[in-house]
Amino acid sequence: MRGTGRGLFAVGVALVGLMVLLAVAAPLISRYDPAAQGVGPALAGPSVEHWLGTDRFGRDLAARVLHGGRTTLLATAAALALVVSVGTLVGAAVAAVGSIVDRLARPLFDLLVAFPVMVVALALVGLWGPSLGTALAGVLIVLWAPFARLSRSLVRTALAEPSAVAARALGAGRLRLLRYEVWPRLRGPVLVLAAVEAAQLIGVVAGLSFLGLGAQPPSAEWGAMLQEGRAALWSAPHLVLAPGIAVLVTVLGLTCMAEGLRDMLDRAGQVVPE
Amino acid sequence: MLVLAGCGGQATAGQGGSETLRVATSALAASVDPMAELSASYLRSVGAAEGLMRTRADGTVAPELAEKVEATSPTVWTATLRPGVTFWKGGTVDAAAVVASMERARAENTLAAGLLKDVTVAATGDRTVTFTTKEPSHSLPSALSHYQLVIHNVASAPKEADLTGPYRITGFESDRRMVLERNDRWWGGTPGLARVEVQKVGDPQARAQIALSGQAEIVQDLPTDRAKELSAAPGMALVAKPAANTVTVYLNPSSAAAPALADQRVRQALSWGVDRQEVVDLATNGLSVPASSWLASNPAFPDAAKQGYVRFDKATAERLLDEAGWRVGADGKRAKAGTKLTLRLLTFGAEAATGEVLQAQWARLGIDVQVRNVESSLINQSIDKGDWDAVTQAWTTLGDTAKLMAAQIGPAGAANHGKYTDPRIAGLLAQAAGAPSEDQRTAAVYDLNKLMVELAPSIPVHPRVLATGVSKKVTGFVAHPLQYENIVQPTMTLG
Repeated sequence: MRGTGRGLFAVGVALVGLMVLLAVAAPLISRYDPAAQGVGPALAGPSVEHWLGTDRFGRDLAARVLHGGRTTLLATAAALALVVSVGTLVGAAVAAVGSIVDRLARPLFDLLVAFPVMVVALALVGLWGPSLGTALAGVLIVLWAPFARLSRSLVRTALAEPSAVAARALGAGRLRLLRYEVWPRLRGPVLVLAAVEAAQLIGVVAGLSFLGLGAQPPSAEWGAMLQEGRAALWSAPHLVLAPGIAVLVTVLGLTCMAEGLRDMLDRAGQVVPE
Repeated sequence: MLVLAGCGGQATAGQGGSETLRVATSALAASVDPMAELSASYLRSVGAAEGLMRTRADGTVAPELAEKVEATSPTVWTATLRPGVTFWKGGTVDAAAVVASMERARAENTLAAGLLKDVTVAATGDRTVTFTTKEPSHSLPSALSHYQLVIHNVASAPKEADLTGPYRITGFESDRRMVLERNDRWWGGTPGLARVEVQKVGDPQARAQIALSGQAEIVQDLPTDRAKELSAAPGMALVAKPAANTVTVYLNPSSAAAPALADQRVRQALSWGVDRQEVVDLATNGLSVPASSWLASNPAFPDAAKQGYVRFDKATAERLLDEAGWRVGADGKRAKAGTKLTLRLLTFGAEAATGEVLQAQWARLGIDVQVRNVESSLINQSIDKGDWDAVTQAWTTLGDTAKLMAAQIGPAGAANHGKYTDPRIAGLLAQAAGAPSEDQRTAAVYDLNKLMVELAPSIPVHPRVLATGVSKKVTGFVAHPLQYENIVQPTMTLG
């Protein structure tokens, strides 16, 4: 049995909000440049001077985690905004046009949804060289498809609803139909899917940087920091713990948001993506 | 007449134990045929293969299978072989066998062909081999110490290895594992170990764990960023030796993306702007040493460490950049006629950390550097295409110095990636290779090194680190600046 979801959603919003706040306020919170080497002794543990310690280059780890959040969250947010808008619009357009376009587009959406995001991103990195932009381009090629598929399905369902048919019979235009019949049915499920995909995106962005294929030095990025810290896992575990916890909290927050929202929509009787 | 003579056997090998030495390495031979690419270096490093000469830890060369090697005329070197040397299977290592080995090397291996270019090898007695060069040559003993000229029984090659080293191969899995047992026929006495098991462990972190857990007595190529932990481990010593190679940033004066590199003052400024001690401290955990000039990592040329960029001089770097017209703007970045001073630096392997420290140091001068750590093949591709600004490489500095310097700065030098030229180079190279006295040749090498500092085709930073974990049970381990001389020694024992 599911709860109302409000509590879970609130926890998610609080966690994600906290991480976003820390990232936005990074220059105010930390007085160190995240790329500045030698601001402290190399591989020092947490102290009053360096709250989370320092890395092998003597860089302040707190500054890097906070600024790393900017890189990871900004990249994720930008990519998400793009895939949500492109996917939703394409899906809605396909559903609205219908007929042969719909028959052609549906297998394309299914094919793209089946494609592993990481593989496409790796292929692009292989072609154009490693960078966060290239990695995100690989993500964008694939990740709009789930939104298009969801949107297509929901728009078709919404347009077939008796209220939409009646509105059309009474002379309602396309915009009016979209505004009053389609959008209320679309926004909730799209939001749920966006929260789910955001958590996946964080993993992809951090994962590619962990492999050295995303953010390049001296950029602070959580995945790249995990890779840098891996070598000193036993002697300086704070190098891995700090970015690791940041990734964990953010992904947990997004997952809570998605689950909470899903429960809320479910109770409201709306279609929710699994 | 110059004579390089050995003093009997390799010494104190003689009290063979019954222990097995376990070795974990980062790389292993793909074939037991020494003429297969890179195999000879691995075979030499594990005590399987030997040459007529060998390079000692101080950088000088000494006879190995040869009893002596002497220059009998300006163009003729005569090697007298040790008596009683046999291959593992019992065949005698006589002059004919040595000539056959040399000729097979020349025919089948491009590196060996380069070492024996314009050299005629002939058996002039049972134990006498003469090497006749086209031009007077002073570097032949050095060439004979190269791993690619190890002596092997041609009759068994390429299917089986029949070599001369103190340990003979009894088990082999390509690129994975090699088992060696004591060669009772070895010319130098009884090798100290009964058995050697060499295992390839590709991941540096896994090698570090093996060293810490005592699963191997010798662990090669340990990651320098775990130096502190490894040094403190009980039962093991971390032996770190700067290698005889210099991690160097090669600069492209023809780069369209970084036109500033065409200006010698900019290249010199980049070099003055490197705080090498900080690079060593941060990128190698203090296990390497600063290299003020390219030759500084060669132990046979100790004065090279006093040449070149002997200090970090930010003021000089800034002055040179200003003189070249690259001035600091309001954003703290240097620019000239609206073009920013930027460059792309490609690094390879462990040099990623070096690249990252250089990036931060050059940023303090107002230079924007993008660093990418890539496979070495990608670096070579970029150089071939001409699409590069700066790359790190670490060429060996120990060996035939004149040839090594020619590779760096000569007109067709394999490491002269930027095609640098100067009217003084040809004369100095000729002096370094062919001047009649050793003092004159040495002086020419130092002059060439100084010229490289002036032209700044590349920026010397530090030697690579050979970090080896050695169990305290092991005696006789010799830290060597050449990696392939660094692992299994015949005198090594397990206490």
